[in-house]
Amino acid sequence: MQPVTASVGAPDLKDRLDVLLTYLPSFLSSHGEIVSAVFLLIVALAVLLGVSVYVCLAVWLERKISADMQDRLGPMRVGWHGVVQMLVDPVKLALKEDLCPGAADRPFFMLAPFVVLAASFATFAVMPFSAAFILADLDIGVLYVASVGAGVLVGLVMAGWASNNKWALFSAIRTIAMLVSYEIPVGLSIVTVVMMVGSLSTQKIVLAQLSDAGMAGWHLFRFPPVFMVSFLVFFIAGLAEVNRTPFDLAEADSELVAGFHTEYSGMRWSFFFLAEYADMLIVSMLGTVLYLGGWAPLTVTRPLTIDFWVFWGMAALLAWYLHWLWTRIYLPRGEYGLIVVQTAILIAIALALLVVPSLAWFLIKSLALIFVMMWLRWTLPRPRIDQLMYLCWKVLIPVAFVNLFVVGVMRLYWR
Amino acid sequence: MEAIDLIFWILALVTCGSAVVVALSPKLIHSVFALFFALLGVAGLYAALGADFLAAAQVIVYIGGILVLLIFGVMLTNRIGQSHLPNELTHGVSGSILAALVLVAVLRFAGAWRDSGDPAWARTYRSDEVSQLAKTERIPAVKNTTMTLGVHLLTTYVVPFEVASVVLLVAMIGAASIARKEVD
Repeated sequence: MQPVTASVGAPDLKDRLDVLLTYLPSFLSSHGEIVSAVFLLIVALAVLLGVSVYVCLAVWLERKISADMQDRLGPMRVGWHGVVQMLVDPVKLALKEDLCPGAADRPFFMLAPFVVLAASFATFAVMPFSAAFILADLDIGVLYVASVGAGVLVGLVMAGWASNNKWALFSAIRTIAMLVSYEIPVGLSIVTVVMMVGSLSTQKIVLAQLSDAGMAGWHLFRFPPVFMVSFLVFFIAGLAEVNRTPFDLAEADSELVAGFHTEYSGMRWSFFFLAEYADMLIVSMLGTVLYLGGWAPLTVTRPLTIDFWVFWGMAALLAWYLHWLWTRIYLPRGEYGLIVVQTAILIAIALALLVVPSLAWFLIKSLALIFVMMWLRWTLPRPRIDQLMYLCWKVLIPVAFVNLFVVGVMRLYWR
Repeated sequence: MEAIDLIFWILALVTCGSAVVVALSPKLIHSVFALFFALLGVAGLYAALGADFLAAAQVIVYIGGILVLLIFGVMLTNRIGQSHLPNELTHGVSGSILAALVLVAVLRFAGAWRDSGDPAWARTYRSDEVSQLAKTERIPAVKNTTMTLGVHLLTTYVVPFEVASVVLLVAMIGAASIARKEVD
C-alpha cells in the first residue's frame, strides 16, 4: 500500500479512513512482513466483499430501474419495495443444482466461470478508492487493467466452447470479434489521458486532476471538446467491452438463447453475472479515474467555482420543479414552509458534501455512471452485428485517432 | 525459504505443467486453453522479478492478441472436435539429444558456469543482501521500469522500434489485402 501524503493539499481531503490507511500499514510493517501481508489480505477481502455486496444491490437496482422505465413495479413482495430480494436471490442461486451437460468438455466447463471471475476481480487491485486506499499503486496501473481484461475474454470463450452448444459457440465467436475490436477505441482514449498526465498509475492520474477549482480540474472539463470526445468514445466502447445492452450481441436472447451461459446453472451461472456486474463497476471506476477526477471531491461550498454554479443551479432547478409538482398535484398549502424546508435540505446536503470521505466520492461518481449504463440498457434497442462492427471500425476508431493526434499536438505546445 | 521462492515455485509449476498439457494433449482446443495458463505463468514470473511492464505487455500481446487469434482460428475450423492429433513420439533419441544440446548452448551463452558458483542472473538474493547491494550500487534499484523502457525505446532504440512498427504495419496491410474479397 502506497500512502500518498505529500500531494494531498486541501485539509478536507484528509478523511479518517485515509489517515487510518496511511499510518496503519507503516505501523504494522514494523511488526514484520507477515503482519502487513495479513493486513493487505484483509483489505483485499474487504474490497471483494464490497464488490459482491454491490453486485447484489446492482441486480436489485437494475430490476427496479427497468421496471420504472417500463412503467411497472418490479420486485415488491420481499421486504419494502423488494429490497430483501437482493439477499434472497444469491441464496436461491446457491441452492440450485450445478448441472454439467453430458457432451460438454467437463474440466474447462467447470473452470471457465472461475477464470472470468478471477480476472474481473483482479482489476480492483489498482483502483484508487481514496488517497491511501489503493491495494497496489502500480506504475502500470491502467495497462494492468487492460491486460487483465484479456483473462475475462479467454474465460468467456472457454465457457462458450466447453458448453458444446451451437448457441454458446456462436456467442463465443461474437465475444471475441467484439471485444478484440472494441479494445482499440478504449485503448486509444485511455492513451489520450495517459499522454496528458504522463503516467500510467491510476493514483497519479487522479492526483493530476486534484485542484481547488473542483470540477474544473477534471479531465472531462479541462480541455473542453477533446476529453469530452475521448470520454464518450471510452464510455461507448466500454459498454461493448462489458457486453452490456445495447452491445450484448454475445447473449442476445432473441438469437442465441443465452449465449455462452446457456448451459450453466446455479452458482457457476451466477459467477458470470457477478463478473458482468463487476466489469460494469470496473468500466465506471476507470471512467471516473480517467475523466471524472476519481476520489477528488466537489467544491460546492467554495464560491464562484464551476462546482458552485453547477450545484446551486441544479439545486434551484430542482427546487423550482418540486415546488411546481407539489402545487400542481397536492393542495396549494404551506407553500412558503415548503420552500424553507427545501432550502434547508439543500444547505444540509452542501454541508454534508464537505465531510463526505473521498471513498464515498469515488463510489458516488462510479455508481452514477452505472446508472447511466442501466438507463441506456432499458432505452436503446440492440444493433445487428455488422452495425456493431461499423460503429467500432468506421466511427469510434477514426474519431479516437483524430483525438489522439489533437492531444499529441496539445501536449507539444501547451505543456 | 523466502516468500519469493514460494511464489517462484508455484508459478514455475503452473507454467511447466500447462506447457506439458500444451505439448501432450490430444485435443487441440485443450492445448490452446492450457497455453493460456502457461503464458499467464510466464507473466507472473516477470512480475515476480520486478518487470511489471513486461508482465503486462506479455499478457496483452500473448493472451489478448496471439492466444485469442489461435482460439478464433480453432473455432472457425470445421469439425475441429473430431480431429485427433497424433501425439506419438517419433525420433525420440535424436530429438532428445538435439534438445539437450540446445539447452546446453543456451545456458553457455547466457553465462552459466562462468565462475565456480551460480551466475549473477541465476542467484536469488535474500532481502538483506538486496539492500546491501543496492547501497553499493552493484544492482541498480529497479524502479519505474516503464519510464526507463519508454525513454530507451524513443531515444537509444528508436530506429529498431520504428522498423518493427513499419514491419507490423506492412504485415497488417498484407493480411487485409489477402483476406479481402474482390469487389469489382
